[in-house]
Amino acid sequence: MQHALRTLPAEREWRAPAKERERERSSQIGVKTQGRVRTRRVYLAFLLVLFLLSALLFLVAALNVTISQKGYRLRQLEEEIHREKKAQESLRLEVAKLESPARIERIARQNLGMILPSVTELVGAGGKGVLSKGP
Amino acid sequence: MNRWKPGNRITIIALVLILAFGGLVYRLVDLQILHASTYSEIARKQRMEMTSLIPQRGSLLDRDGQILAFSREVYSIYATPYQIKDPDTAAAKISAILKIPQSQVLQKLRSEQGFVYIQRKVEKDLADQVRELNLAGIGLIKENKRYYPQETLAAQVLGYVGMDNQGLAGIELQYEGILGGTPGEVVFEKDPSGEPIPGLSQVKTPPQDGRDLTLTLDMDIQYKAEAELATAVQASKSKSGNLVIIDCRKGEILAMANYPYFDANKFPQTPAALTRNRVLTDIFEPGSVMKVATAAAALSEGVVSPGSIIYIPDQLQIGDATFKDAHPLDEDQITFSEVIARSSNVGTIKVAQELGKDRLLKHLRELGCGAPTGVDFPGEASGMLPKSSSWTATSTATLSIGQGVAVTTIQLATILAAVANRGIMVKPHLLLRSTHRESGDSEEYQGEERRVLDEETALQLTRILEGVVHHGTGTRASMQLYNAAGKTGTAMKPAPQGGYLKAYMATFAGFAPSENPRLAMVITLDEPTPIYGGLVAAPCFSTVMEFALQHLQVPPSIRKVNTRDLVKVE
Repeated sequence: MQHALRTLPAEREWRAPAKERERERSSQIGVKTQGRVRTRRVYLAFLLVLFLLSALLFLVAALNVTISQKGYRLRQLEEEIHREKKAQESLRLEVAKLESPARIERIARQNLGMILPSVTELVGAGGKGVLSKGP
Repeated sequence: MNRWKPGNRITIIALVLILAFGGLVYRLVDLQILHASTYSEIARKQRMEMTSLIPQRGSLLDRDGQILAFSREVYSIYATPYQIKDPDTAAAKISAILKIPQSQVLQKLRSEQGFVYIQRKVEKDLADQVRELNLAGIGLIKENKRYYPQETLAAQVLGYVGMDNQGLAGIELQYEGILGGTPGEVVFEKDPSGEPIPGLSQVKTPPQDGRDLTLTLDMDIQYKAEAELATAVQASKSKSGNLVIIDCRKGEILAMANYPYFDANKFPQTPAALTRNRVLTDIFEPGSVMKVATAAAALSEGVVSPGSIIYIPDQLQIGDATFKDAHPLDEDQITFSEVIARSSNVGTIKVAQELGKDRLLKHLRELGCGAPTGVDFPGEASGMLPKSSSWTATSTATLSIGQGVAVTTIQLATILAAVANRGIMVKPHLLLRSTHRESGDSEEYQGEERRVLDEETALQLTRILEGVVHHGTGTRASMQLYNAAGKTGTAMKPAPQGGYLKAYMATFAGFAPSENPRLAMVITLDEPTPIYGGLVAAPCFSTVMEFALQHLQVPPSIRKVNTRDLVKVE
């Protein structure tokens, strides 16, 4: 840079006073220091962004894992609900079969030896029974 | 040498990089913009799969919520024959589990089709055993199967569904739109092995399950009706029989029975004739039961009153036809009430002649003869009422005693119910309400009614019909606890080639308690022995009606008119 200045004709004709040259040199050193500080800040900012991005990536990955786990759990629960519903359906069907009047009458007649009553008994409010002949 | 100066080399590398980068950019633009939709669709098809979600068919319940028809998940076992490496071994294993002949399975496994059902609608435990075999080319599909846990109960009314769960007959067919529901669609993302990725399935359209239908039928009354009908048919050696019980105030059908019956779970093996609901589909000449309609017309028009004296000759000659009473009367003059109570053909014809053709026809039409009742059941017959232009000289006479006119059992029941309901005819129906399975919201059936008789006429007719049970042809219809009103009928069956067969239809139509009617009932027996409705059908009416009224906790009649302790049953 100095070499380049020396080759300029205008520089050769005019030389600044020594004090001013000293001041200029000091300011140039200050500019260099400021530049280094700025570079460091940019570098730090870059690292910070990189860190944040990495953190975000980890977060996303962790969330995905959690979602997958919850998804599996959800699927398990859905299957369990489905199974229970099917079991309930089977039980309802079983109850309906057990409540069949034909089945009840068959058991009453065959297993318990019951027969249809031949007399209809009406009980009045006073507890007095009224008998009516059957068929 | 100048060509390979450092500056030139940098330029060339830069150019190469720019070209490569440009190529990439072009490809990206091509993929992402120009043909984005095409590639997106290809990718979607590769990883997404759509399948339909089968809706659950609604259940059929009786009026108290007892299950009459119910759908359950089962499995159908299928094969992709070209994927099966060893058909003989596979057939042996599968046939052992499903208990079907090995040759039958083998034939299917060696089929040249891409897809073949081995067995449809297999219970879960058997399906699980087949799944555990883990055979390549054998798969399972979830399906629904219809069960009728009460087996033969109301089988002709409920109907049945086909292999694909669509209603084919009865209520199942009538309310297919409500019971069937709407299939849904689910889209799921699959992994390279073809398994769905959890959490990535998306229900595109949820299936709409069918609504549950609560019917007006009462399972206990239906059971009793079927049992007593079977007894009546067997005791009288009839070919068949049917009966219906209607709540005369609401039109709700509490029981609708046919005998012989069949098991709805086995409908594919059942002859079609057995699956018919004869209450609605079969027409017959009602005979003397039609005198109820003739009497209603005559009383409405003021031609006679219950106490009017009618002269009854031994026979009546109209044109070249001679009409006589089945049982000649001791007296030659009786009241109109007695004409109906004793079911005098001659007396009824004389009143009908006084009434005239036009007025008789008008009232028969008003009472619903020749038109379907509109009951919510597929295939209801209209009956047959000859057009005015086709009436002959004897038509007024024959129609008044129930010949030359044809009705269904439900039509007769509707007429009797209208008399019982003080002249208001209510459209009979089988649906009480439909209910959404999840939300529980329900829609009630909206009934329809119309006045067909004035109240005074209906009351007069009720008193006359009480006489039928008290001392007329229907004494066997009397009950222990309730007064009844009704009419017997014995009619010759028309021959297909014209004229009549030496075969009879026996009928009893009535309602009870007669002082405050609740239920109307009609029972019809085809070719019974003995032939008379009063002998074979009336006792069945008595037993079933009394049971039904007690079951519904209807208070017994206080003023005894024709209860069994007053009526001497021959």
